[in-house]
Amino acid sequence: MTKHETIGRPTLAPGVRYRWDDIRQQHQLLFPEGMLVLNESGAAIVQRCDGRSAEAIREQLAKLVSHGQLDDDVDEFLSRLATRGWINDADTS
Amino acid sequence: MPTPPRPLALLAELTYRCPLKCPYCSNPLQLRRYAQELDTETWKRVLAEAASLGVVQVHFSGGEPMVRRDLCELTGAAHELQLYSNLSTGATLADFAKLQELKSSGLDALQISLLDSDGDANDQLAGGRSFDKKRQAVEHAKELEFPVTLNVVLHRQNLDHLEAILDLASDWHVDKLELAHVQYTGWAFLNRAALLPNPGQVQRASDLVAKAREQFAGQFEIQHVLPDYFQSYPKACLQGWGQVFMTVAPDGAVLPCQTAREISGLDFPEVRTSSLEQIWFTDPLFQRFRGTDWMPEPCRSCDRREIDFGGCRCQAYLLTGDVSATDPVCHLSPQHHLIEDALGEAGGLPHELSYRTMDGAL
Repeated sequence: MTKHETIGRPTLAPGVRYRWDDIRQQHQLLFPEGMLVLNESGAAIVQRCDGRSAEAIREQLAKLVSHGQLDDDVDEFLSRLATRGWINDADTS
Repeated sequence: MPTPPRPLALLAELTYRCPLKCPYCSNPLQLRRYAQELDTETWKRVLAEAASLGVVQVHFSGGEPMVRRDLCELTGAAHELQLYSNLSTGATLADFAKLQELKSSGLDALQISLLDSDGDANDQLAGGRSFDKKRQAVEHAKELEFPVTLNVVLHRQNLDHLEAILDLASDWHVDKLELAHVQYTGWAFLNRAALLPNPGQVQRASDLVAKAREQFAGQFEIQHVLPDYFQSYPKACLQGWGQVFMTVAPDGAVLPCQTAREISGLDFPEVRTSSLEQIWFTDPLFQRFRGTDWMPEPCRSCDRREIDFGGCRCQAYLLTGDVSATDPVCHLSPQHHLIEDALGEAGGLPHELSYRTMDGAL
């Protein structure tokens, strides 16, 4: 996957899981032998990677964040996760 | 001393029993001594204690963890506790039905070991037929949508097959290839002269991996763990003693590192008598090499003391007899000549391999 390819319908790749860590009070994305600590917007995106469209995720996030203008952030974030193999695109699989 | 961070990972060594006889096994040499295994209920308690302590990932290993009849019950318990679970297996017992059962229990990821690219070489080194079973297990695991890491331990006897190993990882459609050079503790220390590569082999491996990372980009990831005997500084063992990892051995001993049993004179705490929380925060063994206060010179005043933490305690002990010594791998260690001597002796004469057996090293 090239760096700026947009993702149509992101889903978490097999073996990749989102989790809320109650002890550390943090959002985590877990994968074999590692994890990524997510901020609030990263967690909001990842929790919506269930086959709905990236466009729907952008709209829902924009509603959550009052100042809006999240488009580039969502696409860049998804593209970064896809490069690492943590999300797939249901449109292309 | 400041409160240590909570551990992120638990290595659950369910058993030391194993059908394979790999001569670089990281299990202790005197395996019979620890043959009394924890029962299912105790393991479930350990997993629950690990989750409350803050462990995020549990790594089921051994020996061969698939010899445990209660494995699916334990992977299921881990899943219910919201622990991310990995299973490390030699795959000789991993038929489709078993892998499917593990998948249903909630197991997240698989690591399958491979000894060499060639079936005969693999089987000879493993001390038994296993190559075809490993290939089939990878195929089944991919069909079941497990992420699969292929683990190949590198050494003098298989390094010249690295190109074929890389091609095989591609053909088998694994998600990740872990190429870790042998760490010379345990059985590998016993077989060091036969396993230590020559510098040309190590350089060639690095070149091949760099090339393969481009060639297979987007297909599978390659992790290359370099042999510390060829480095100027020691590895950051465990990311620091008692900082991130803990191991529970088959008999219930709790170890800061899975090979720490090779260090004589240490008292290991036990899950049968203490909770993981008590052990992590208060047991003297877990405190012993935390931080930098224990360090001798040249580590104590070294700029890298919080980068490599003085290196590996097991290696320091095995090579110098002093568990607190600077890891001799470091070129600043006063005992660095021990590494140079070992490199000089390697491959000089034909060395017979000692294969891992339950009866221990002779």
